[in-house]
Amino acid sequence: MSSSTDSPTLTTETTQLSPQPDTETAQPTKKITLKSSDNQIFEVEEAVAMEFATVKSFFEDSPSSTDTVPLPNVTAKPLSQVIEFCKEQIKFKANPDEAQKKKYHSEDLLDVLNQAVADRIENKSVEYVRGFFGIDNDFTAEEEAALRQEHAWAYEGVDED
Amino acid sequence: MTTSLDGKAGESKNCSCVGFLCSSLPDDMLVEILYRITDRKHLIRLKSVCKYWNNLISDVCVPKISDSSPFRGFIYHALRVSSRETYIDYIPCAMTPANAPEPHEFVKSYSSLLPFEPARGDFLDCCNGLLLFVEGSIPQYYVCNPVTKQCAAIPRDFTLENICTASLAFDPFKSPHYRVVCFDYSEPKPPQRSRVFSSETGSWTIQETAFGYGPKKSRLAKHCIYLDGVLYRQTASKQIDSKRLLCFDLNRGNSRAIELPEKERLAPNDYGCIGLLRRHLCYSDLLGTALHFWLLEDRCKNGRWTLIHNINVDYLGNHVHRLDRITIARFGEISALRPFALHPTSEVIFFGTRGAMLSYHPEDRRVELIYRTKKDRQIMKGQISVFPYTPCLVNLKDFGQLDCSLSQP
Repeated sequence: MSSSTDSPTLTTETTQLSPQPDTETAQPTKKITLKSSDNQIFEVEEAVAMEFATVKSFFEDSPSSTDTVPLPNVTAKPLSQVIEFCKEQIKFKANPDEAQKKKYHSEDLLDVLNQAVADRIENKSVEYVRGFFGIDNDFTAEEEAALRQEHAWAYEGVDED
Repeated sequence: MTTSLDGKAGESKNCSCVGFLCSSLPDDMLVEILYRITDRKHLIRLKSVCKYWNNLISDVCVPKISDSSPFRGFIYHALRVSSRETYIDYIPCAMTPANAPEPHEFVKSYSSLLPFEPARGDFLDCCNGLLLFVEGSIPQYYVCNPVTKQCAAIPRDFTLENICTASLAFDPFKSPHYRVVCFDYSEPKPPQRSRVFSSETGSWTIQETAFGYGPKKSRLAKHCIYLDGVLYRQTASKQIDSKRLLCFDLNRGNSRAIELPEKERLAPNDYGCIGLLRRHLCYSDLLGTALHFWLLEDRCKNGRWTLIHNINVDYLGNHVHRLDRITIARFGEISALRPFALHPTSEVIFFGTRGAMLSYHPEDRRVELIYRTKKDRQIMKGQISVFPYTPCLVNLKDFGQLDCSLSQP
């Protein structure tokens, strides 16, 4: 528990990766504008924006672009959360302090997202889950009934939905 | 003002961003999501979403869950001292109140699946969540899964007269199929035979073993451990030579024996405990005044035992005073301690006497009381062992009505 007590320090090699968002004294970093599907504008530092594969490939295709990057697959709320996450992730990459490492490893973005989706479908009906994932039911009524019968134990104590 | 990309997003329905992402999820991510559904029954119900999900849940999610399933408790043979009556009972891993009904609810729940009332001797094995029972003189075997509330009657083999010592070979992480292995004692000299029923083929086959496992059932421990196609079983007898671990390779159809560690120093007539720890075979036994814990390395070839832990009984003697006096009184002599079982996923050794079960956590040298028998009750030990139970979600095939079943995909 009482692991490393060294306070994390930023080295010159890592300043480029960690643009210290809380201090304005450092040299001005390039800002990139992102736009969510509901037309909200987010201005973020380049390093943060480059954490997004979509943004990265956008600039790889047109390196000199100063345009706003449209992100049509995401609305403002989750986007702001992801941006916050990326900021933290960058801070962490710059300071892989042991104590922090533990914390952030368990909070891998993918983990967070997977858990969020799992939470959304926990205890939801099969119909809801099909709708949520945009899946068409390819079972015949007979097949579905047989499947249910085969796994009757899983339907015990469950109200029909 | 709106870009073409925005226009596209605007066309789709509410919440489409998630739907869009989820409909194009790679398999491994979908598995990760499904794996996180805490209600396992709900996960099984989601097999109805579509054929693809049905297969993905059966073929990937269930094995993955099986590998990390929480360890629940122990099935053990109990003795009512006054009447000498024996019965099967269950100890949940989490301590139960002393007034828990007897037999445990769990025993009642799986017994209700069987077409007969199982007596103590009818319970044969418990392997990775499945239970094996036998009934009658021409043995009729039954395999139960208490989670799915299923009981499969194994087709009878009429040559199997009077063979009722059998074990289950089942590893849901590797395959949803299981095997029932019956040891034939009718031929006293090697090669001896075992009969193997495979749930995959629905039929019995005969396997010969290159060496004898002796003419008497009494020399073999009842409990087998199954790992990677091999069934491990220990022998014990007054002759030191026979303290071995027999390995029956069910896939290759051969067998061999591994010497137990420090066999000259092991109690010659008593049984240690074999078990799995993170898919390694382990052995625990009392050596002098210390409970030892070995791990088998290089098990496919020569096999080499490595001592991982030992607990001195004196340490336990000093430690148990923290438990109440009654417990200590029930212990009887400390030297009566035997290893009972090993935790399948963590380094925990379960041991005890006829009156109590304790767990030892080598990591921090912690000893905990798991269970204390009631007055007039004992945990039977030795050849008859304590079976760790870990639930599994695997559905059993019904051999009785194979033709009527439409549902096997």
